[in-house]
Amino acid sequence: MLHGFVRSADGTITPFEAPGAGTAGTSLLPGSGGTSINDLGNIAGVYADASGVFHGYVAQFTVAPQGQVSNLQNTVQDFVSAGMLSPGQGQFLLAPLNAALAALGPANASAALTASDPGPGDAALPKLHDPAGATAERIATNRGHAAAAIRDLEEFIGRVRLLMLFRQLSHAEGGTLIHAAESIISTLRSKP
Amino acid sequence: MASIIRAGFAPRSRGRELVKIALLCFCLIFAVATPAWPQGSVGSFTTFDAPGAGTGVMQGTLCFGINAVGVVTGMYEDANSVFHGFVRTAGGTITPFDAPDAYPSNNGGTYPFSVNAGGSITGMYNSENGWQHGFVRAADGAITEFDVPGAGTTTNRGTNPISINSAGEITGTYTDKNSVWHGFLRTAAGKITTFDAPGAGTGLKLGTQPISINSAGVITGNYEDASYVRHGFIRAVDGTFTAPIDAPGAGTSGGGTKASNAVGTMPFSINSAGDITGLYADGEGGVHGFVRTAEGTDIHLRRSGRRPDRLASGNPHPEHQHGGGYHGRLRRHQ
Repeated sequence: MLHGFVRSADGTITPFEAPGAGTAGTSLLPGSGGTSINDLGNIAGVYADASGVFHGYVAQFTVAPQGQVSNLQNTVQDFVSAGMLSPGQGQFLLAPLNAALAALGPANASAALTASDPGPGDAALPKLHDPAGATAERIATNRGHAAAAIRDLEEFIGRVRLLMLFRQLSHAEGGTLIHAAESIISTLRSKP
Repeated sequence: MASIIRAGFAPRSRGRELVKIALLCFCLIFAVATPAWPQGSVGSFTTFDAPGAGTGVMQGTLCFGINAVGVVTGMYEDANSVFHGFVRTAGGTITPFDAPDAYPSNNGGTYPFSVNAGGSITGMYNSENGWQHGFVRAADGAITEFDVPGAGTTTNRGTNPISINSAGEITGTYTDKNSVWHGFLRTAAGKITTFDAPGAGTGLKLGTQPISINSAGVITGNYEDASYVRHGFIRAVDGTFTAPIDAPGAGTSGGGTKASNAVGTMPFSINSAGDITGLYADGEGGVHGFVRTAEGTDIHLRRSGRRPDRLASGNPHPEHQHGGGYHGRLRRHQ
């Protein structure tokens, strides 16, 4: 049996299965696998069904906000490398993303921003969310950081729309960046 | 695809070899794209079949690349066992294509392998006599075919592009008339530079196999030495090499013959920061993943179970195909 996985840069391994993938040795190559991933976490891959027929899939690897902003930065830089944006235009878009990343803090703070909140008093809270043992104050701080990052991401979206208005980005290219930024904002708004 | 499986991934051609390499990556997602990815989850699956894809065993749709905006490329094998390329937009529109001179023979056709941020696709196709050629397909659908000077002109020899970066630079392998592998770099303007990794063997089916090029033009891949052991390499933009790159624990004995079971280190992908990932075969039936940072630090990802025997030997033993059960053992090595 083959299984797909994503290994994050921090070493975390996330296994996954494509729906419809064969689960037994009835086909010659049952299971699923990924073959490519981009900076936005879009995965393309292949799975073999129970009859041994190959099918394609795309899926989404969802990461915490810091990682998502980093991915978005990489996408903008890819656009610059490909000549789809000038270096100046790239900086124009990267500036609010850099600010958002600074507001969110280092990646090792991501657990406090992304893990499901077990609630004050949960025994796991100090270990999972804050090695120093801070609780409500830390959550309040995170809310403030998230709010600042959301403002930066909204600024980013505005700048993308400006470039689209002046036809420096196509509808598809700009739409991809906006969708990614909106996804991060949605994540931030859903967390404590 | 049927022939590949039925043949047990025997290297019947360089094209098949490249397909084999891609399929070996089934268990290796190349998550080297970002500098800091915390824990996450995989969901929102959308499955699809290219129109015309065959529905027989080992036929169907195979994806090989996705770019920054979600455009996917790959190939599909039709009911007559002819391979065709396709491109799928992020919105789900699938466009099949064939290189103009691809010969629609059994197990022949068009094999796309890589798509860049601008939507350009590269890959290979077979002409009537089995001669292999490269192509690049622009985002507007225009296809340019090319051959590397010095590439062999007979069956299972020729030009095999495998990776295209955001600048439109393409790398890949060409097989000369003596079936020795060499690397090449093709600029977006069409200028081709050939190269060999230092230490690469010069015998039959030995040599240099570039696999991936990043946005800066840095190339990684592997070479097989005269003892039939594979080593990784990095080729810098100025043409200088970092080689050999050997993962600790990689097999060091190729047995002195061209074995079907590869031994050694095989990088598969390089990101814009210069980090590479790939696999290494320990020579005892085990295959493991690795990440090597641009600074040269190796982080090992060990998989439990034995290597899926089918992938290497053509002697399938499904009971040994333990693709899951990953250990969390990471080991740093300077």
